[in-house]
Amino acid sequence: MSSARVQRLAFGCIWAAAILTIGVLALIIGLIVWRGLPSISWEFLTGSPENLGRDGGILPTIIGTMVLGLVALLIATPLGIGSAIYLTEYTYESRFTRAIRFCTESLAGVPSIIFGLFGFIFFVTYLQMGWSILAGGLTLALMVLPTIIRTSEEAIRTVPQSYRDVSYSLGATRWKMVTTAVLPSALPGIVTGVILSFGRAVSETAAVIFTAGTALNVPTSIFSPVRTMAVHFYILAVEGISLEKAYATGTVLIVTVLLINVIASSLITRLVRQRVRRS
Amino acid sequence: MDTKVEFDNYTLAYGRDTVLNNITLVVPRNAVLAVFGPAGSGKSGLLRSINRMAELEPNERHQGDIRMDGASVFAAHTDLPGLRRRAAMVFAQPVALPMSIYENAIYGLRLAGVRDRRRLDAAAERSLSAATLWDEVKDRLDASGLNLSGGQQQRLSIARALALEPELLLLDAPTAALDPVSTGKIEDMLIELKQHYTIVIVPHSIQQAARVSDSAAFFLHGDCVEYAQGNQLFVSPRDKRTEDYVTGRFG
Amino acid sequence: MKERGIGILLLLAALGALIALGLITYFIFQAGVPLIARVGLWEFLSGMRWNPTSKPPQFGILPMIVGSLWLTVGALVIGVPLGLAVAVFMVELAPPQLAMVMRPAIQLLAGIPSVIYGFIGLTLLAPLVRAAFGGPGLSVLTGAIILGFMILPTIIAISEDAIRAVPLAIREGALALGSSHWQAISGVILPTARSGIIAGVILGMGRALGETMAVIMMIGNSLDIPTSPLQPATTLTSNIGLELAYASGPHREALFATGVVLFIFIMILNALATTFVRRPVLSRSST
Repeated sequence: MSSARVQRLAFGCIWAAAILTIGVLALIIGLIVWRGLPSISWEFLTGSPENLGRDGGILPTIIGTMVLGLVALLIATPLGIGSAIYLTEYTYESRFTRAIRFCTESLAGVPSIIFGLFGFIFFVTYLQMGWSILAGGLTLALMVLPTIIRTSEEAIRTVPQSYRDVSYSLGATRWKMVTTAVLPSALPGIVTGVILSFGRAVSETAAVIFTAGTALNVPTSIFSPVRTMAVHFYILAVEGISLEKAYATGTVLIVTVLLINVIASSLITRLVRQRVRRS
Repeated sequence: MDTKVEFDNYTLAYGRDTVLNNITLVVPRNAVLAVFGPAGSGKSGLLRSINRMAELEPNERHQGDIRMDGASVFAAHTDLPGLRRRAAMVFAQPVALPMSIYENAIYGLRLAGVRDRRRLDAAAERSLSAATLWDEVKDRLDASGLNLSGGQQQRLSIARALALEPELLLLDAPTAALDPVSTGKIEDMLIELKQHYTIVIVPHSIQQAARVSDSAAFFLHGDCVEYAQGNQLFVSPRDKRTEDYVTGRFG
Repeated sequence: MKERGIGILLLLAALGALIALGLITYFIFQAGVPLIARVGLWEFLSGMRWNPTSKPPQFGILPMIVGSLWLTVGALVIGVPLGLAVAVFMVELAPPQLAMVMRPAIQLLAGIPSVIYGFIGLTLLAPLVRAAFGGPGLSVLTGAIILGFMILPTIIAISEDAIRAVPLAIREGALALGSSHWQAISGVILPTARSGIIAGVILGMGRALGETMAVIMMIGNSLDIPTSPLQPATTLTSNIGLELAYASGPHREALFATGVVLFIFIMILNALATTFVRRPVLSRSST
């Protein structure tokens, strides 16, 4: 075959792959939303489940998802940003910083079932928190910590060195320099990372089901067990309770994730625009 | 001649690189000292030693002393932020922080904890006027500093330094990134400012050094080769190395 | 003084990742190693029977290891060619507007919860597989296909970076010698980006190995060693996910032990991936 024909064939396959990828994405989202939308109503979003979820709504799971995500972020965000600030502004590259970075990268590679196992062994059992929002939130916080550290570090590193020089030369202490010259510029990048982490927490199942439990009631305290939308969706599907409710729950889940992605990427474009103005 | 700063056998090194070698030098009060020489000769290091910004570099080591108004800047309980407010620095790259022009100008005062609105307003007007920027920005003080031109941003940087009412101005090639018109404006400003401030400037050309300075020092490879009043260094230098540099034999 | 305190607080924050990793390693090992010691490492890894309720209970995880392997290989067979192709597409072939559309689409693909993927496998793909090839439908094949798409974003992202990192000079050099665009890609660009692409593949492998909930939904959960992709199977992860909720005593310990094995596998894979990322792009000396 001539090289031109080979190229046509190869590029044809590549285009097909790209189209297939988009097609599958559209198929997944389309299928779930198509079958789920009819079952979604105001009652569905604000009502409680009945008959193990065969009827009724999913309000407790929506609350559970949001609360769990919030707790995880409340724990992981200060830890993550503080960590990033320390690594970039308070130390030089050394064996210590490399060790910390190694731990962060390793943590990022741990699969969610291991986090679930750990959370179950350590938070639920050893620390006797039981299946609770606290146990689930702590576990999720550990899962998203590497992401927040990574995106915060990146955001801080893009702040021009001249800002720091100016700040120091006018009599700033290190912390004042960080809070007045570095963080304001790095904020969009940091917030994007936090929002993406929230999306990750919303989607998580394996780590949540073994730490926050599967109870369907509206949580009353931080020690209450809670069921998230993802866990509810999983149980509905795997235990064959209700395909219809599963589609509906899946739709709400997908829409939530979509919304989070859109917010995050609009922040990124604002960041790019700001960067262009600066240069 | 009244002395504002004196270097006493001062040596500076970053790790294994010696930046300044046994410098003994006097900075006269209320006058402009030009510190010039080829790249890498230690001029920036000299300025950064006065306000102790040099120690922000990794593996910084120094020996000898630097005294401002007779007191060592390395004294045990020196208030570092306070020192840096007394010896304000302006860099080669014009820097407008991502905030309004007003906030840029009073940034140093805010860092120092000044909150009185009237005092801040007065300082903003005073420093922006001294930096010859006031007339151009007085109607848009809340606009972002990022929208100013390079020359305006550099004058803003100078205003920012002046707002602190420092005793000493350390100018590291302040006109290096600017067009001739802005450069001229800043040079004129310096001639005004030296009545009230002691100024050490790293000029970005020998001609600029000759234009603005009351005394000059020629640096080469970390050594202070020659130092003299007025334009002597440019007209009749004593050291051959100075002469070679000034006449353009190397650059 | 306040500065000093802040510095210490930040240091403690930075130690968080270290402490977390240490805690995870310690507690997982502490929970699982005793049983491995009792049963014997070899017996545990090569035992073909997993029967926690028999007397005495049998804890052999070979079927799970085989299942995990089959599933991972299958996912790579689907995901790597597709991912590589899309990566090449994004860098070399896509018109800029299309690339701008595809990028968020790929990010979305990555953001879809794994249980949704599993659900699609369960309700859409499994019946299709059963209709087309026979067998129960819920099988290694179904799992591999869906999992292949799940690891797609990982492979695309890292391969894209690796391809973009190929110096312009090499690209232009190939074209200047008269090769077609495809010849430049296949003969020069891809081989140069090889290390990065391999790193992406290894990371994709790790992701496939670690997936749990979606796998449970699709793979049929049979404790026999699968002999064809159309058969159901169990993986290390699906076993833990299925049984942890109601296991107790030695059974629970055995699940923790499975977790230990999984943890070690994946940490090794991650370490391997980093060595490929660090290796310089140009490992062959240029003449």
